[in-house]
Amino acid sequence: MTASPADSARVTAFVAVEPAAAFAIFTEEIDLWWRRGPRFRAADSAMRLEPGAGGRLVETGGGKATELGRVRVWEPGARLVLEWRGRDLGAGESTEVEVRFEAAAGGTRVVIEHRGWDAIGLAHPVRGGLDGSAFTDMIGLWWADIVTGLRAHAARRR
Amino acid sequence: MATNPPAGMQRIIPYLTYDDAPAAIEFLCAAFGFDEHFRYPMPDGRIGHAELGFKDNVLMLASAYEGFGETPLRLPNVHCQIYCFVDDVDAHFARARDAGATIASAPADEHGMRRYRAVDPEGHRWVFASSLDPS
Repeated sequence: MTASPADSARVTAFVAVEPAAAFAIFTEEIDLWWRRGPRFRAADSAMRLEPGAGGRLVETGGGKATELGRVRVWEPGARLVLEWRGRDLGAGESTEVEVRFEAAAGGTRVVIEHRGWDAIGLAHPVRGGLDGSAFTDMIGLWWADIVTGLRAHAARRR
Repeated sequence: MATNPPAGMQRIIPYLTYDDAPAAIEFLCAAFGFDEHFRYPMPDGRIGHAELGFKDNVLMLASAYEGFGETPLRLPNVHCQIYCFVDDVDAHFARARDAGATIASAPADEHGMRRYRAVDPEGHRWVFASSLDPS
């Protein structure tokens, strides 16, 4: 499924491990590679992704836990779909993040599609005043920065 | 009197820092179409200075040295981005994607440019663009 440029951000990346390992690293080692800093998560927080459909992606730190997303599809080595609220969407607001792990020469092509932004109003603070592809470009850059942490972590593990 | 800039260089040159500069040189040549001009390897395996060519421009890079430069992997936010003009954005995009570059957005027409956004393995942000102006 490919949505419109204003609805969806799509990021492709490469990690130098095969798809089963890439999926395992993405899910089980998320606390090790999910980048820290003001754009990503609190410096002292912990991230965990509970395995299986219905599992939660949770950031904990500073005495609170934030559910960033919830697993809709869990296909080890192939595909992960999360209902996504991140830090910025409230109850009743959600988007969807699909992560695909595709075999590629020397490793895995990781494809992240973050869709459903059409349903998030133009005045929503998450947009920072941006709409259309200017906004989804920003979302794509955020995921590209996030997945750079995965790439570097996977390379160190080889 | 010396010529400035020296032959083969432009007046303003990006100078990037990488943790793994040898890997970065390999990546930039394979994915983005740079040519290696030269490198000064240090005894510990780091790169003291390297220059890559891109058409008639050059890019400088070096390994991270405390106080001289830091990899974006360890920066809390985006420091800068590099904006490059290419002749065929779609061909450049396909090469970069196939070579494993992280693609943040596919080629699209915007503000009189066709462009795409990529992130290199250590997080430097790149825009590759071609003007849509027919003149």
